[in-house]
Parts: sequence; C-alpha cells; structure tokens
Amino acid sequence: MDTVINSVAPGHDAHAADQYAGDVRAERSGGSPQGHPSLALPDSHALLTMKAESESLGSTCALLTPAIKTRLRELESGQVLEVRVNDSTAREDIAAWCRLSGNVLLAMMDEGHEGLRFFVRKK
Amino acid sequence: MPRLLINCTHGKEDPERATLAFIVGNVAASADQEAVVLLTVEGVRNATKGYADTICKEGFQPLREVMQSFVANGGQIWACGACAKPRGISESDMVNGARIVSAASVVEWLASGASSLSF
Repeated sequence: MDTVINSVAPGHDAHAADQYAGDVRAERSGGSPQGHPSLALPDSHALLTMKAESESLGSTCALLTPAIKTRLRELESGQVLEVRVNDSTAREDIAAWCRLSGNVLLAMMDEGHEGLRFFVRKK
Repeated sequence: MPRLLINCTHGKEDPERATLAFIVGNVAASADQEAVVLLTVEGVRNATKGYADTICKEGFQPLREVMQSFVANGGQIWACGACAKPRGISESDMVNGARIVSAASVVEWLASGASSLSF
C-alpha cells in the first residue's frame, strides 16, 4: 500500500506538518516505513476508531473531538491514543483540537481508502 | 483560558439550531475552552427536565446526549432569566448543569473577553 506519513512537530498545524515531513512516501511495513526509521509510527496505548460506515451520522465532525477527549481521560499523561477515521475533515479537526487543548499531535498517516490515522499524546 | 458564549435561541420548533449550538459548545468544552451555552427565547425550554429528550434532528446526535456530553466536558448551560420567567420556568425545572442567569451575568462574561456565536 502506498502510504503517506506526516510527522508533526509540536505546535505545528496540519499544513505545516505537510511541509515538515516533506510528503514522505514509503511502503508500509508493519507500521514502520522502510528506509525511514526516523518516521516510525509512535507506539499507542489505546485505539479510537470512527468510520463513517459504522456511524449513521456520516461526517464525524460533531463527534470526533469530544470522543477523543473522552478516550484520553482513560490514559495517563504522556500516553498515546491512536485515532482511525475515514473522514478527511478530521485532518483539520484534530490538528485544531490539539492546538486548543494542548495535547500533542505526534503523527498522522493517510492510508488512502483505508482512511486516516492520527497519534495524539496526552498532555 | 479563552471564553466562549454560544447562544441558542431555539427549541423543538427548530431542532437543528437547538442541537448545533450544543455541538459547537461540546467541541469547545472538549478542547478545554471555557464554554457557556446561553439559552434565550424558546431555547430556554431546552434546559428544563425532559424537554430535550425527544429532540433529534436527522443526521445529528440526540440533543439530550449532546447536552450531557457538553456538561460532562465542563460546559455550562445558562438559561436567560428574562426568557424563563414568562414561560413559567424556574430553577427547580433545570436539568443537571443548567442554571438561570441574569443579563448582568451574560454581559460580564462577554465583557471579560468571551467570543460569541449565535444559532
């Protein structure tokens, strides 16, 4: 699968993240892109999945960030939540929510038809 | 911490506007913003026990669930006293997390720098 990985520096927004990571394309191999060891995905301690086909609401806009907040309550500070969605607006949603709340968006991965993956570290 | 005031002016007669105010408020509260949903005009009825239970606009979460999530995330629900009184609504009618406020409280919140958005 052709995968795009963006490593997100703390405090950067999604657009900046695109520039920061230089639109790195790599063949995914067990969650760690070959030839790009520095862009290995962060380890996660919990998973939140919100896919449109399993949600009658279609867009996750109204539900996604409150759901992330709820899930993060179960984690300790410094632990990482992986979020999987198939709603492209989540790129901006999650980046904005992290800037507001002070939690850190460590990385996001665009897996094409499979959707988007985000790694959020609890503040 | 940034303060927000989201004004909701509708109840059952416009479920979409009633729900959207709380959706925005809930997103704000979940991002650790100091968020208040101010209920005015027919919107004050949303703060009364049982009223929101049957409000569900197609494509949205039921209003009751959004309100509960908003309060659980630290959001405050204010019902306009001037709107509540002529509708026979008192403090004892309020749902958990809601209270009746005066216009002065609203003005004070805004004057302290709160941004506002109205539905």
